[in-house]
Amino acid sequence: MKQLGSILRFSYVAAIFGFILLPVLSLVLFSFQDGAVALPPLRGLSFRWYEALFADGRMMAALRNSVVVGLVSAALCTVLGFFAAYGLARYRPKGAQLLRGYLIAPLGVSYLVIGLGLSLTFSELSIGRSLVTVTIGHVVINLPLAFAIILSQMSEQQESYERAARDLGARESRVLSLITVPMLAPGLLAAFLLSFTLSWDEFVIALLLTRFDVTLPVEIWSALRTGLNPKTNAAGTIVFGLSIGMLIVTYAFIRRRLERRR
Amino acid sequence: MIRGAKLTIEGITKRYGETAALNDVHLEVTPGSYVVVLGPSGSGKTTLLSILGGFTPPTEGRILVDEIDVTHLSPVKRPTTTVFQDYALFPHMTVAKNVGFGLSMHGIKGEESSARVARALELVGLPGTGDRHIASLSGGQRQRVALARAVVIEPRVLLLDEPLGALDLKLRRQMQDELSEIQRSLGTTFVHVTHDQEEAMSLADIIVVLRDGRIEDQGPPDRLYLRPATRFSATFMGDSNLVQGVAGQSIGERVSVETSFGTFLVGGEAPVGARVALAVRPEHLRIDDVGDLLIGEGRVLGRHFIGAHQRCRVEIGDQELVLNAPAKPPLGEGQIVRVSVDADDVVLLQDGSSEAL
Repeated sequence: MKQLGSILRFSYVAAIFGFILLPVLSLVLFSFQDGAVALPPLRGLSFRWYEALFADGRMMAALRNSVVVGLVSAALCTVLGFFAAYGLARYRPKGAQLLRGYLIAPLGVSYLVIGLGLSLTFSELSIGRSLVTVTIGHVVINLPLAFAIILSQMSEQQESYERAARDLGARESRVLSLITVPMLAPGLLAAFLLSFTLSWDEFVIALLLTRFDVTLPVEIWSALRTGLNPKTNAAGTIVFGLSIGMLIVTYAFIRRRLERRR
Repeated sequence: MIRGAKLTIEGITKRYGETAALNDVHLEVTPGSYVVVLGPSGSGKTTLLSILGGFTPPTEGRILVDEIDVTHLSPVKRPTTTVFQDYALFPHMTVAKNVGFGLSMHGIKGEESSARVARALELVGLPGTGDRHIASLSGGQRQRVALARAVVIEPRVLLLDEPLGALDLKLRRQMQDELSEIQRSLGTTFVHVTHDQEEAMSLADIIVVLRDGRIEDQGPPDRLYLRPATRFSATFMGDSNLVQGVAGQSIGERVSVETSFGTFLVGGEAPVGARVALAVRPEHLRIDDVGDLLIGEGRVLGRHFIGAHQRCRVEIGDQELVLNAPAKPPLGEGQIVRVSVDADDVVLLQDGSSEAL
C-alpha cells in the first residue's frame, strides 16, 4: 500500500516534469539538428543553425534589443522598487498598507490586459510604439515583484544601523549609499536579476508595444509564422538557456543570503 | 584628551497622546561627570536618552550642551554620540571600518584616521583587531567596538543606552570597571541609562532616579543609598525596611516619630501629625541593644548564610524586618533577639502614604 503510494507520487512528479520539460528538451535537442527540418529523427549533431542564427542580422538585432530592454527595465524596476520600499518601510506614511497593495496589484492583472491598456494609452498620447514603450511596459509588470522582494529584505535592524550612522554624522545620502544599499545588496541584486529574466522572455507586451525594432521573443514568433526551422530552435534555446542561467544565479544569491542569516 | 561638556536639561516633557513619558525633567550635569539615569522599565529613561541624542523631539523643554541650545539639532549635527543597546555595529564592515566610520563622516581620512582608530581600539582593550569581521566577535568584544566607534569622534557628551544589558553578569561587572576607567581617562561627560542599581552605584558620580517620567531623586550614590529622599528610591536602590509612623514634636534638628515599635527621635523635618515612613537598611539593624534606638525584642523567622553576613527575617510585634547580622555566631530559627539601630542610620521619609510597595 505504502509502496503503491510512493509509486503514484513518483509517477505524478515525473508526469509534471515530463510535460513541462519534454517540449523544451526537444527544442534544445533539435536546435543541434544536422538537417534542414526540425523534425525527428535526429540526424546527428551540428552547430550550423547557431552559425546561421549569429549570421542573421535581424535575429542579432532583436537579441541586442532584448538585452537592452532587459537591462534598462530591470535597472528601473530595482531603483523604483527600492525607493518605494524604503519610503514605505522607513517613513510609514498614512495608508502604507493600501499603498503597498496598490504597488503590488499589477501582479494580479494579465499581461494581455496591461499590454492593451498601455497600447491604448500610448496611442491616446500619440507616443509611437518602440523599444522605449516596451521598456515602460516591462517596468509596469516587473516593478511589483522587484518592490516586494526588496521590501521583504527591509528590517527594523537595518533601521537601527541607519540611526547609528546618522548619530556618527552621516548625512542622508551617505546613509543610503554606505549603509542601506550595501546591506540590501543581495535583495537588490535578486530583484534586478529576476526583473531581467522576466523581461528577457516576455512576449505578449513586447508584441503589443513594439513596431519596427522588436525583442527576441517577438522576432522568433515572426520567424515561426514562416514555418518551423532549426534556426528558431537555436534562438529559443538561447532564450531558455539565459533564463535558466539567471534563475540559477538569483537562487544562489538568495540562498547564500539565507544561509548567512542563520 | 577631550574635555566633557556641561549638559543642561530644562523642563523636558514628552507626551505620546495623553500619556506623558517624561514630565518636566530638569537636570544639570557638570562637565566630565558620569551620570547614571536609573529607573525601572517604563520610567522614561530610554526616552530621555533618545531626546538627548536627537532621535526623539521633546514636546516641551530645551537641551543645552555648553549653554548652546541643541534641542532642534538633528543627530547628524549634535555633539553627542550614542552607544546603542543593540550596539548597531555595521555587519558589512570590518572593526576598523566601523570605528573609522564617524571619522570619515567628519572628513578625517588617511593616516590620522587610522591612528585614531588604533588608539580607540587600544583604549577599549582590543588592539590589533581592526581587520576582524563583526560576525566573528563575542558579545563583550562587540560592546567594546561600539564604545570605540562612539568615542573616536570625541563627542562632547557620550550617551549609553543599557550598554551592558546584553552581557552576562561576570562580564558586566568587568566592563563596569573598564567603562569607569575609560570615562576618567577621556574626561567626556557620560550619560548612562540602566535599570541595574548595582551598576549605577559602581559607575556613577551622580545617580538620577527616574520614576514614571519624573526625577524622583538625584545625587551621589552614597547619599542616595544612605539618605534616600523618597520611599521609591529607598526601596529601588537596594533593600530597605520601611516602618510607618506619625510625626510628632520637632526638637532641634530632630523629630519624634510615633511607630508601632514605640516613639523614636530621628533626624529630619516633618510637620506635626504628618504620616511618615522610617527607612532602615538591613545592614544598619543590630542584634544587640547597643544602638541608640531600641526597636524591640523579636523572633528569628528565617536565615540565609550569605558569606559576609547572615540575612535574617525577624518578626517584632506584627512587622517583619530584614537584617544583616554578623556571620558569627549563627542564629537559629525561633531564637529571640533584641534589635536596635543608630539614630543616624534611620531615614525619615515624608511621603509616608499608604501606597503599596
